[in-house]
Amino acid sequence: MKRTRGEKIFNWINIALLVALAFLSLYPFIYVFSMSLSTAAEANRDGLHLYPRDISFDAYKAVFTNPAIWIGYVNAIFRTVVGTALTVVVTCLCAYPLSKKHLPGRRPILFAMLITMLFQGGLVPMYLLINGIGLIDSLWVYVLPVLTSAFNIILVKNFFEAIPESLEEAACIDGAGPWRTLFQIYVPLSKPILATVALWTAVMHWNMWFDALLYINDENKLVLQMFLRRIVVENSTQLIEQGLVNPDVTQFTAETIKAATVVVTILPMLALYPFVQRYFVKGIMVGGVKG
Amino acid sequence: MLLPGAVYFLIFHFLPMGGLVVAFKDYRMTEGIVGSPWAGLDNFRDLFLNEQFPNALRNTLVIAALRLGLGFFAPIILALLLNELRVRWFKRTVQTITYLPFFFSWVILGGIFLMLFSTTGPMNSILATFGIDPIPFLTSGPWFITVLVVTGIWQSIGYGAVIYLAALTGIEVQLYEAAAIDGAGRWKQTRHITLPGLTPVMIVLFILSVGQLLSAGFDQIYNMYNPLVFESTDIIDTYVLRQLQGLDFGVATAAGMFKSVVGLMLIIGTNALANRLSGGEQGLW
Amino acid sequence: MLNWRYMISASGMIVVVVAYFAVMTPDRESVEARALARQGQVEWSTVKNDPLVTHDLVWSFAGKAESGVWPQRLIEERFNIRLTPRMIVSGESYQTKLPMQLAAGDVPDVFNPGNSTMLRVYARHGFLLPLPLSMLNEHAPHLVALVNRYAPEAWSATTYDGVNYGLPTIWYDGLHPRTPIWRKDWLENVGIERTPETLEEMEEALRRFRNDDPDGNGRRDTYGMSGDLMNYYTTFSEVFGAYGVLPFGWMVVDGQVVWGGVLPETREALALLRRWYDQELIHPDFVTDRWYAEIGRKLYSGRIGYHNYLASYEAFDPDNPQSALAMMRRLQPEAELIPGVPPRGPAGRRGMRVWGAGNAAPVVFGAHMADRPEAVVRVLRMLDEIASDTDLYIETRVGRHGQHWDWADTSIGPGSGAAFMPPLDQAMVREREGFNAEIMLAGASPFAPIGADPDRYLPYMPQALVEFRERNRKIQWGLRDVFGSPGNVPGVQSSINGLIQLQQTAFAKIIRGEEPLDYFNTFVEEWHRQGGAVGLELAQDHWRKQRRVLEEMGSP
Repeated sequence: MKRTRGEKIFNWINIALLVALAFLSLYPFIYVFSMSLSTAAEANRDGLHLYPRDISFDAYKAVFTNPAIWIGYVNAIFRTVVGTALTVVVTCLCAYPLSKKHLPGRRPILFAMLITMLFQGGLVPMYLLINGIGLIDSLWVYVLPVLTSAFNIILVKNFFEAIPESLEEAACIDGAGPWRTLFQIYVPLSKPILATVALWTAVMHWNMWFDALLYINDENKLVLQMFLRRIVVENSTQLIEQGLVNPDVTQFTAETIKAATVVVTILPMLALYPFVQRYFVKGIMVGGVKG
Repeated sequence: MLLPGAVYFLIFHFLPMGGLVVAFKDYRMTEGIVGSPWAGLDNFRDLFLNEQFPNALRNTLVIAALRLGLGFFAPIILALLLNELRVRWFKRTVQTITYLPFFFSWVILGGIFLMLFSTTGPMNSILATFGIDPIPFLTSGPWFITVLVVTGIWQSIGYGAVIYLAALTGIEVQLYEAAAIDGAGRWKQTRHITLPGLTPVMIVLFILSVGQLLSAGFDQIYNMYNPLVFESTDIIDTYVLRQLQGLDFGVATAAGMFKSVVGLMLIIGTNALANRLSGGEQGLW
Repeated sequence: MLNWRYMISASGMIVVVVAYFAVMTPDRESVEARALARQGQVEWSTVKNDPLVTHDLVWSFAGKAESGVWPQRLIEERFNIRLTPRMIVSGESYQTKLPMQLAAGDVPDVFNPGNSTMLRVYARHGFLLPLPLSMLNEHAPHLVALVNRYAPEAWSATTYDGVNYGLPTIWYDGLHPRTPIWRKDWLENVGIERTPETLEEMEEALRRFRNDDPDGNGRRDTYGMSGDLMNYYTTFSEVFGAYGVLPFGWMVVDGQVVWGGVLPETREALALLRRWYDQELIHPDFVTDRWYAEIGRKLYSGRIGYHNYLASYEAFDPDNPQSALAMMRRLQPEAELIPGVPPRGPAGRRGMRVWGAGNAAPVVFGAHMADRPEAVVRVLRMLDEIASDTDLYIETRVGRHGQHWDWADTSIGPGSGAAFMPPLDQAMVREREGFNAEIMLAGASPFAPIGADPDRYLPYMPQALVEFRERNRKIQWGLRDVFGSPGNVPGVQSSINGLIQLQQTAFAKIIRGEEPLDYFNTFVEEWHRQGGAVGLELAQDHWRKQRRVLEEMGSP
């Protein structure tokens, strides 16, 4: 394709802009990464910390010899994998009927779902519920309360609505029931949006710690983020200001260990992204429809 | 098919929602939600009739409106810019990197930004080399809010762009080919094909995010503010936290309910508007 | 568009949910607990301690201790009790998880409520057993005497609505202020021989740090000091202290309770700080700096030569790689640090804020224990015995000599301090095994939650550390809030944080010269109007009540 001069100039500006943005986005990672590879003293130096100086692996040694980290990894992977898989399935199951305009009661259902997005019962009722149905100290407490969300369902539903009715009619003539239609026609055609939902869900699962704090007492069932939280936040101002922690008796965790824990927590998610990314490459949908 | 979803929403959402009555009660944990005495609108009175409330509400609206106004379009622009890239590895790398900040909590980012934007920090050193006087990024209200909004957008831009990238894949290539044959340049193609293709997703996301208008980003503010900007960054959440030293679930629930009701009304209004403008095609319901 | 049908179906659904919820809520147990708390009036004088009866107790304290560890077995055997430990690991859990567990009716028999604010919350909600002072005096006389001696104000933190609900624990180290720290080599470089003792000397040193190029790099890039406005307990504490003021705290002046932040002396201190800021002795970032992060970093990086909240024995230990001195030498090889003293002010006063010995977490009993007063008495007697028997005290905290710990330097023996033996020398292992987290013996111990009595533990500490504390962190330099902390006055909880923020903002503006010094008067008016006036009355009233309690407890 031939390009005009204006387009070429735009192209270069675009590249420059995105490189700048990429650098700015990368900076906190660079900062934390070079901190994690520094000695405790070096981490206290005033400056940008663009690269590690006075290199030391002590922080990583400290992090990896803590068995809690490995426990956290296993549980975090469990909740992310199982949670994401279930979310995608349940979201599809809900979105498919709701994408049909003729579904009786469609609008009230959508409206009720929307309400759940805005109104939450609050901590106490939620705790009583989880306690009441016996999910305290169960790994399922990570998965079931966040099985899906109105937000996901609405997004997927809208994507489903854009798929031509003719495809479904054709499937119907072939004798396919709604389940086969959903999984053999709708799901394959909706890979980009399902990949988005899966990515967002996986990220949410990976980042969640509050449910672990509330519902889990068994140290062997905690997730990685909870350990990160303990290391990074426990002695922070927030708790000091609320009088929950006395700064004079707490030992502040070394900055380097905080940084190493952050790096260790982020890397798996960073590794995941490229695998999901291929679903965002243009053209899949087109090929699918034209078949 | 709806059964698993219905059971889920019933148990994990509608069931605990009964707890919202706490907003109208003088909640005593020992007496339970049902057994606690009714308090009428006392909790709401405590919430609204404090002289600090109007300021908190105003700040919340200002900060959240800025976030919504600018933050909503930023990921769209990023997605469009990424879409223009032809070199695949470059595109993928930028995409991956821009979504990275989302994984940092504000406890970490707060510390980094305090360092970057302090009076003698790197940001001001760079400005100084251009002969610009130090800017009080952190200590003047308007500047601090600017920093809040910009860093907030920066944090979620890559993450938010993912959905638009997904939507872009749904636009048929033939449309572009036809347009190119008609002699339309990149800009025209973007305006007449790409943007209309993204509109449905944009509308849905906009309607849903309007509901969050009273959530101005507590975590971020809490980890970055200082005494000089207390007044201009006191949002509903920080205001409630300050009153809550006595674990007053009633007031907390009332505050949450207030936010939700406003959010719901905004969503209903925006949805009605979307329906009217698009002739009933684009709304959520 | 919405129509009435959707509204009806939505509200119908909510009605169903509310009804269902009423059935589901597992509140019956806690309703019983509340009823018992109302009866609460156990006839304590008739309760006997029968050592042959075994008591089962759900035991919930801070820590990571596993079940059945050595210290637990020690007290179980000795005191004929059986414990079900349910340890609460983090500070955040105390704030969020514990209230939920209690709301679900799951109240431990003996526990640590987290802090005094939470104690009052739980008392208000009816979860706690009232512990009459006379009863505590009878069954835990040593502990009561300890509280009366070191932290009588702690009783006001365990009292709610005139009733006592907790047994305070003593944290002796809280009486010692963290004194300032100076760059000794900088002082020498600018020709100052003696560590500054007065405000004038301090000002002169700070001025030379700013103007006389103490690091000799030829650039005017150093400042005297920074400050921390976010953490009120450190905010220029030594400067306000030189004027005899605790700026963020309740003080007693001439028998009247006053708030330190609105006194005329506070204005004088602000005038001085304002001048210092104007002369660039104070770093321009002082509003956003925090003492344990940015200020420390500025000191280590050679940007400032003074820090007001670092000095502890460990900071000066060059052999400990985590110490302030060791870290600093890695960045600035020529650095020397020296502990300073809080500067003497115009009227000859000096002081720094201290937390006091009574701010540690108290011990409380669940309201349902009114059913089992014998078990309550057993626990109190047990705690009292641990507090009065040095060997037992040491064993419950750090175990047995030769088995769990030994003298740090066996050739010296006592005086070198007790040190854990491997594998307990690793913090992770010792927390799991239920020993005291800190070799300092000052922290709380999960199975012997009685605080730290200096008469018991000082002989087990390194003598050098004890001497450092006596010399450089003198107790008489400490200024403490008469109620322990600002929020300990009943009725001020909802306004006190707003008032503190108001004050922080006003101080920042005055010191930075954004407002004239007379703005202080505007602030004082505003402070009174926004709840300070009411707060003062409440505090006065609380002070009177506290005095009565102290008299009842036989404290001076």
